[in-house]
Order: sequence, then structure tokens, then C-alpha cells
Amino acid sequence: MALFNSINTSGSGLSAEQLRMDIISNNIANINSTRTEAGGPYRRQKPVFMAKEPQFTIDLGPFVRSPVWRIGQGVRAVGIDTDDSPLRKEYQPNHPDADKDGYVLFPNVNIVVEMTDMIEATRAYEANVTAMRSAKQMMMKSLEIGR
Amino acid sequence: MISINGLQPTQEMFRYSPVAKPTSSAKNIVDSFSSILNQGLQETNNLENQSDTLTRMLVSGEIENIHDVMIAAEKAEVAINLTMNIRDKVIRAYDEIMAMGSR
Repeated sequence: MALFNSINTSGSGLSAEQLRMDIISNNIANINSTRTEAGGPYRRQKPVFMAKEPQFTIDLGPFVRSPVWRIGQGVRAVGIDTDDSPLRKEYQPNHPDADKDGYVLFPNVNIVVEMTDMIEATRAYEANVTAMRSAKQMMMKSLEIGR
Repeated sequence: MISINGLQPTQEMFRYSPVAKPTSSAKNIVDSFSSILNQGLQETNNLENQSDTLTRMLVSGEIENIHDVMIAAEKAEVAINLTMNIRDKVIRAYDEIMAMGSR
């Protein structure tokens, strides 16, 4: 139903923020991982989001100028990007992954940055839920026209 | 002076129900109205079924997003409220027409 456009859009926002939260928790969990399957230490991951295009599949007839069908359909996650910033180097000669000079490469995950990203993701999630509830309240209010 | 642009939203509603056009004969009006009702009931039924399926999938652990289940439940609730309101309107219109004949 085209009636639920804004609810679907907010739903896509919720999925995107949940993916972001999952990636943040993975980053925090792997903050000291010096090994990965592909070799080398863990590198910080970031989600990549893309705005969905508005759909023009409906024959608009004489009411082409309506702005409703030019609004996008929400957000879509198109991939998970790896952060290329330099890794943390620490001097631990007794570590099993130490190189010949005794330095170990730790992941480039900054706990403070991850915590602020987490707060941002949580607030964005709540904002999407609020937007969805407001859209639903508007719909329920419009049903009162007939009362 | 009040601008005529205030009528714009009402005109846009014709886009959502393509059968609701000004018709020429009474039979066309009856057919299009019942097809509107049918279409509305079908979509309400679909939304209910979708909500049921998603709830079952959440309970059995197949889906990971709780918000998908909640969104489907909300859509079903709004659709059912709308259907019930339309049903009340239809019944009241029917009653008035029947009362018209008995006076």
C-alpha cells in the first residue's frame, strides 16, 4: 500500500541503524584482536549507506506534479568498509604476534570513537521509531474524520 | 481569498484508487465500489497474514529484526481499523437508504 510509504522508509532506517550497531559491537569486541582469518590484525569496519531512489513506476496521470513520488524510499546498506587509518603499535616483545623488533600491531579501533558512534546509532534508532509512531498517529487521526 | 489549492489533497486520493473515477452509469458505480471494497479487504487480509508469518518466524528464531515484526503488526492494525470504519460507514449508508424507502 502506498499509504505506508513513510512507515516503510522509517523501517529501512531502523534496519540500517541496527546494522551499524552490530558493526560497532564487532569493533568493540575485537579491539585487541591481533589475528584475523585473512592474516594481520583486525581493522575497524564502517557501514556504507546509500539512499534509495524514489520510485516512478506508477502511472501518475494528470497529477504528475505531486511531490509524493519524488521522495526517496529510505536507506540501504551497500557494504561494509574497512578503515585504512594506521594501526596501533605497541611494544610487547613477549607477545606471540610480536615482530622482530618486539612491536605488536593492534587494531585501529578507538574505544571513545566507538562509544560516541554507539550513542549516535541508538539516538538515530529512537528517532526513526518516533517518526514511525508519528506517521501511524497521523493515520489513526485521519480515521477519526468518519467518527 | 481562500485559494483553490486547498482541494489538492482530495484530488490526489484518486491516484490511490484508480477505479474511483466519475462514472457514467449506475452499474459502473456499483461495480467499482464493490471492487474497491474487495481490494481493501484483500490487502487487509494480506497484511494480517504477513503479520502472522513474521510473528511465527520471530518466535522460531528465523528472523533477527524485531522491528520488522512490529511494523507488520502496526500496518495490520491500521488496516483493520480502516476496514472497520469503512464497514460502519457502508452499513450506515445502507440503513439510510433502506429507511428512505419506508417513509
